[in-house]
Amino acid sequence: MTLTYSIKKLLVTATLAVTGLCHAQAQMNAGVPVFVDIELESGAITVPSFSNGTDLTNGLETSVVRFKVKANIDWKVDTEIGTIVSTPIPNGPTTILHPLTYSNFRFMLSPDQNDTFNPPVAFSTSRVTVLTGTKTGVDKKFSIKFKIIPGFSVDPAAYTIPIIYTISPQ
Amino acid sequence: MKKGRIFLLFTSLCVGMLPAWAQGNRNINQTIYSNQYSTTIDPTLILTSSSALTLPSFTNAIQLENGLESSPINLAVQSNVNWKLTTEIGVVTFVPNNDSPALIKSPLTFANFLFSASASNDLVFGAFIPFNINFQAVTKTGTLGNQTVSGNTFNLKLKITPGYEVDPANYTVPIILTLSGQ
Repeated sequence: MTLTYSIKKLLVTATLAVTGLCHAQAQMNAGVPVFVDIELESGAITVPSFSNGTDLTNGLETSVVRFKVKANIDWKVDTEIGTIVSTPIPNGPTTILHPLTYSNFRFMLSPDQNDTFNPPVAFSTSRVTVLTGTKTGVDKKFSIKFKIIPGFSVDPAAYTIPIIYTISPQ
Repeated sequence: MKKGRIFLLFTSLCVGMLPAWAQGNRNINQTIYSNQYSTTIDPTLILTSSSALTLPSFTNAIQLENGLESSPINLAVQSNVNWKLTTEIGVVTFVPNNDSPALIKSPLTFANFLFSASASNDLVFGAFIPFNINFQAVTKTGTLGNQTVSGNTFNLKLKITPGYEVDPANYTVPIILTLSGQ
């Protein structure tokens, strides 16, 4: 009986100790994981073509894309104009010496996704932070569109433009 | 013994869960969404003028021999390709006046015209160049850009030297300026 009691006592003590260890490690390493996510809600971007001087000088706007952010930490959304690929077109130069670059782009943000857009902001580098937010417990929705102003210093060509959105903790 | 096995199983479960949570943390703190978009920029060339080109009338022998210059026309080019400006002396029409011969046999032609373009937006002109082999000539070339690019705003003027071979008459001269890519 004494031995059995001792084994039981040892088992209970050891179980509590291991359970306590697990609990302690869970608090340090796991807890609630950091979670940030950006989802396209609607609006596959279409980019207009530039066919006259007014288009080139004043620029043209893309269609609107709508995003939803889920995050349990303060977050930021970066937008990057990736490597633009240019393809010669008829009546244009065969070698593209003056391609479209990020400096020809502006972004226009509707922070509350209500179609009221802030004034255009230039891309000072190929990747800029377009929006920051704090964890609020609800999904944050916003809209973004772009204005492309080639001017007369960009070669005529067909351009493919990757635009990359990244959400990460601040 | 059974209790001992249960205890060992429980311990293994506790220890096994922790690495799984940690791995999840590494994968969900950044999300990327991307897409490819396409657009086309067409070749676009625009020529504008801020003044008119007017041709003078000839009233004496010195003017006939030395010629008279037109007023300068101020031109601005906006082009996203390297460009050239072609000036064409169109089909000259004439109406006899009181001093004209009964039949106009030797009218004014493109061969009586010369042109000169300034390098930039000023009135400094080089030597006049004749249209002596064709009714049209490339009168200026430039590089892509808007009107602020050096050489994309300039002045052009013509000089007409009828001499004594051209019949007196009232002449109408169409002057056609064409901007195109090089």
